[in-house]
Amino acid sequence: MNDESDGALVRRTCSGEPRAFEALVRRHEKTVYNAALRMLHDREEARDVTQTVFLKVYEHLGEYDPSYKFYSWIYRIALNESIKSLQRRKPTAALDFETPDGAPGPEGACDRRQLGDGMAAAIMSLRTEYRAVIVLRHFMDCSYEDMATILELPEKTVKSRLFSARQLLRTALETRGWTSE
Amino acid sequence: MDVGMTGQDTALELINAEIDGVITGPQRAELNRLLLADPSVRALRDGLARTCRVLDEMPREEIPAGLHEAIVGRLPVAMPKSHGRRYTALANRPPLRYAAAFGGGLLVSALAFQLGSLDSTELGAGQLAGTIAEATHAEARMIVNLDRVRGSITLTGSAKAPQVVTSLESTQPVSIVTHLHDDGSVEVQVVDDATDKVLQRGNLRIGAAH
Repeated sequence: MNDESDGALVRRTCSGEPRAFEALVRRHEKTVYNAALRMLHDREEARDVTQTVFLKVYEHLGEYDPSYKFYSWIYRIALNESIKSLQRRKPTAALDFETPDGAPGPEGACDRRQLGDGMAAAIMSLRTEYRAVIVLRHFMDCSYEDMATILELPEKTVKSRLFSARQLLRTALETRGWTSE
Repeated sequence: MDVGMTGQDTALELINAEIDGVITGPQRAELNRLLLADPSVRALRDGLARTCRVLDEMPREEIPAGLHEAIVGRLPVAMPKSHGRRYTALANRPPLRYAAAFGGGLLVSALAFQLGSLDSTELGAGQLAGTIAEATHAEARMIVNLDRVRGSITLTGSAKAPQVVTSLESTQPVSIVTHLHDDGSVEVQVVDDATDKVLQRGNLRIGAAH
């Protein structure tokens, strides 16, 4: 079952084999969870969003258009649900760029974990539309074409947005004393 | 050389094409020319490349324990809407008004009946849609203790709005078929999908188990 295409699993699910949908869940749940986690920076919310995504996918499986890639459809739902979850949040203080102990290491001394923490915070500092393209490209491994389909934007716009988002991340991290050397 | 706005845009596009692995031969040549000519382009490329490397190296977390089971457990009992064959087969069992099929594993779900609203000869997708709930006020329960299917089927709610809650573990494809009688009791069958044989049958009534 694991070697079957998403489309074949969708067809089997719609033919009355719930196990086939379970295989689809197993195939995509980690990517969806990590995407939600990067969009929300909150494990509990990411967990809830992941559940909601697969429930919605299941409920609307009959509406899935097989001329599109199945994962594009799931990822679009995942992004939309993450954005809805963000919109439901009460306003809170903006995340800063401190590492967990509040003391970023000296230049060149940041270990991988500190870098990752700093990057996670930097991602959260981006506006939602920029965060979305970073998540799609770097955490969901989407091509420019995939991103254009998912976001329903021209590929040129997607590329421009992605390049700007990367620039913003680089600037945000360099402001914190992080260098590219 | 200080690249102007257009040059910077060109450099940015080429650098990103390189990072994303979609740079063409002529673009590579152009990027190399810009890198040799302008230290600011080199700094831009180094900064963006490292930014993207850090992004790509950020660990992907494993899903939390129990999330997969929670996702699967929350799925409605009814199949997705475009599922014609199974619906037809189930609809061809005239006395039976609802069936939840599952191919093994754990099924925890609940079906809320709406008295008098079901068509006994043809079931539509909307009519098959069950809801998920916990059996917090169990009224009548049928224990299923077969070789390959174990658990319970509970009738809860009220006589006017009965609800069947299933909590079953199965290692074979089975259907849970129910028939709501006019007196509010519910006949429940556990059916082997492969042979269509009824493995267990019971009649549940609020306040009593049969």
